[in-house]
Amino acid sequence: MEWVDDWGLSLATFLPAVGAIVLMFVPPAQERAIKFVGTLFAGLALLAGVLILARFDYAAAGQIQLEVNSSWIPQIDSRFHIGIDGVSLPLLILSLLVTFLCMIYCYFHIPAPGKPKAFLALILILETGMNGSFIALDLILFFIFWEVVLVPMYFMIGIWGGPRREYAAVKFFLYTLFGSIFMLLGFLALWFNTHTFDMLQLRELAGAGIGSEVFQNLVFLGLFLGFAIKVPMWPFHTWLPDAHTEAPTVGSVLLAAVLLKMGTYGFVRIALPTLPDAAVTYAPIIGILAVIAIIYGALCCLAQQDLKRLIAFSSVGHMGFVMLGIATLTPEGINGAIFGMVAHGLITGMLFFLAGSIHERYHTREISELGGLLEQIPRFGSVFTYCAIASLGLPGLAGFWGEMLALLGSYQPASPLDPVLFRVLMVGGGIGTVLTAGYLLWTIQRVNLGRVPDKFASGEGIHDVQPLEWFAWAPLLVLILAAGVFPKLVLGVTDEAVTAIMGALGG
Amino acid sequence: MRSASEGHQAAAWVVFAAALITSFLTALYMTRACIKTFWGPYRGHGTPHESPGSMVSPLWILAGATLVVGFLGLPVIGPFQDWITVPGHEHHGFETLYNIVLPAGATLIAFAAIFVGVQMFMHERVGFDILKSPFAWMYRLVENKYYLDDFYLNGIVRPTQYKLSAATYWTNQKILDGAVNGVALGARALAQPTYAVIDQQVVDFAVNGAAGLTGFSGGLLRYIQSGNVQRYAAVLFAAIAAFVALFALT
Repeated sequence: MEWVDDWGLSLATFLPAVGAIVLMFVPPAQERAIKFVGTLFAGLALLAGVLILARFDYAAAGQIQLEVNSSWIPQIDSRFHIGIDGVSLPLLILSLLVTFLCMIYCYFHIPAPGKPKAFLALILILETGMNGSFIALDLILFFIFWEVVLVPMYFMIGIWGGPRREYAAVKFFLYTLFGSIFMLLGFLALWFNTHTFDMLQLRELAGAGIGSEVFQNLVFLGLFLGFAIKVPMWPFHTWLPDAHTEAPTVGSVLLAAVLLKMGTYGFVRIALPTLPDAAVTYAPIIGILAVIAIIYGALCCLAQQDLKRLIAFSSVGHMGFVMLGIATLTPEGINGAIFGMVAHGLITGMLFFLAGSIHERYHTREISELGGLLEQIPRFGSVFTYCAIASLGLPGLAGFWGEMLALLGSYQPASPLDPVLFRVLMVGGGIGTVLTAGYLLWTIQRVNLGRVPDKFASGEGIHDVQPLEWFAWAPLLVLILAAGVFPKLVLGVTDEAVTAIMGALGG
Repeated sequence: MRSASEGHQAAAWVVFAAALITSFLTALYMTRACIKTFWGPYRGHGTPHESPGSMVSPLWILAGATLVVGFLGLPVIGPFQDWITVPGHEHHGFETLYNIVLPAGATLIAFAAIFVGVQMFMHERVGFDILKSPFAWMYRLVENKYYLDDFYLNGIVRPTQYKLSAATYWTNQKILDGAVNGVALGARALAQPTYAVIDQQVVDFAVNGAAGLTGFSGGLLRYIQSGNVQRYAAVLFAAIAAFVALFALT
């Protein structure tokens, strides 16, 4: 099993890309073969993920493991440097699992206009980009994976999306690209100052401070724009509701479950440890924007008439909690942020599956036209209720811990930060949780309870959860509960790694 | 209470009085509930019937326990005092504060309330209609739970649910997203003039102009580079003559 140390991460990352190449040689008419190949390679990557889980030394979760560091572009000393610690492991596994479940879901749901070969190939390329972003330890390598993600998602939204797909796809691409240019400028500025793109070396150099204060603040601003747009933080979030709403179901699932986390991960992995002093300078701004996002996102949810758009907006608020946790610069807050990322991936990914399935059954996502799901399709209605309640942060389910730890961190933020400001932010976040419960309960009331509308009374084409749907969803449903009652599942892995990253922040 | 200040002492008496009044009112309304339920003519619509054993037996257990549990509070009988006594702080404990007057008084007040309730609601000896009295507003106030629920619903929940949310979403669509779309439209608006004016006219003009200038100057230089050896010699001679003249004159 020692080969996993050298090859596990590369296999998990590049097997999907190999799958995309293999798909090229499958004739387009062979739909079963196409789906089989897609699922096979996503499954093999997940298997690599399981081996990584088995091989990972949890006692040393704070250290980079399964590291590979080989020469790549010697002219600029950019290296093929990959590895994982307790921060990246949960996100990598999340990405592997959710992509695999999406492949299973695609067995019976290839959105119009069909073309499963292209669709599945794009998902596989997307997976390589996502997984790569979480294992890269070289800034240029990270940037390439980051950009690889854009292209397949652009085509998934633009070709398989809803009525406004072209607008949404271009907006998604350009907005993210706009941010990532500033991020790249930040990376280049770091290189000109340190002559390295290596994240671990940068983390060590950060102890003495890289460049002047102005330099740090400017570089942080560049990284901030890149990551904040991806998260997305208020007020850079307006690409999100359009992209999530117009994307096909699995596109929305992958966007919510994995893509958004690349932004928050960037803050934790790159921005904070490399530029700790600037992080302290920016933390109050990030905290304020995060709390605005929490309240603002919840209010926008209350105003939504389209179920999928409502779930899209809920991400703004939930990612606000993640950013609030990061802004506290405390171990509690950042552990909570990573927990929140995983929980949001499980829960909101699941909610997008459900929104897509509601549309498939009822041919509408208008909340006012729906009703009585628990009466008509009780198992589906129960799953929907369960996920909505998990999303509002009920203790015992996964949504709770991220919010709780973010609020806890805000009560006593890191020493250079103003505790009064952060306690005000904590109260704001608390108000946000009430609003969040408000719109989710209202949604449950309107969609799941009440009477079945007359036009759906015949029940034609409206079936309860199908066996393959159970297969695709059960792992997420189980993990939502497992992470809720046993948060150590995630926190046990992240804690030491967070401490190691925080070391640069001077504790 | 020994160490409490006089202010605390006064506050304690207010709380004590409120507790006594509450115990009176509690006994009174429970008496009313019992009388209205179990005495007097039947005012319902359905046909009453005895509950099944599955409901009656838990009621018996709870009723039996209710009769017994209260006596556990008596220091001579129950261990209750030990549970609420902090070791080492016995003087703050239950037995030192325990005073037979308190439970006895509270019980007497409850019996008084039951007596008043029976007079009011069973024998209807009190011909007082609060709705026709000057205290009708008090009745309305408590009937509507001090209007707190109305305030919460109409003052906070509904405005947030419908007005504030709509306003926020409007801001999102018109202002934030408007700015994003504005930038996009601006870029597109810049595209046409950039192509039509700057590229096709200014830059291309410059390029064409440069080409034209090259052609023009080339045309002029053509005369110099004629290949005619006599003319080269003549120009060379003229130049040398000019230089000689220049040096000779200076």
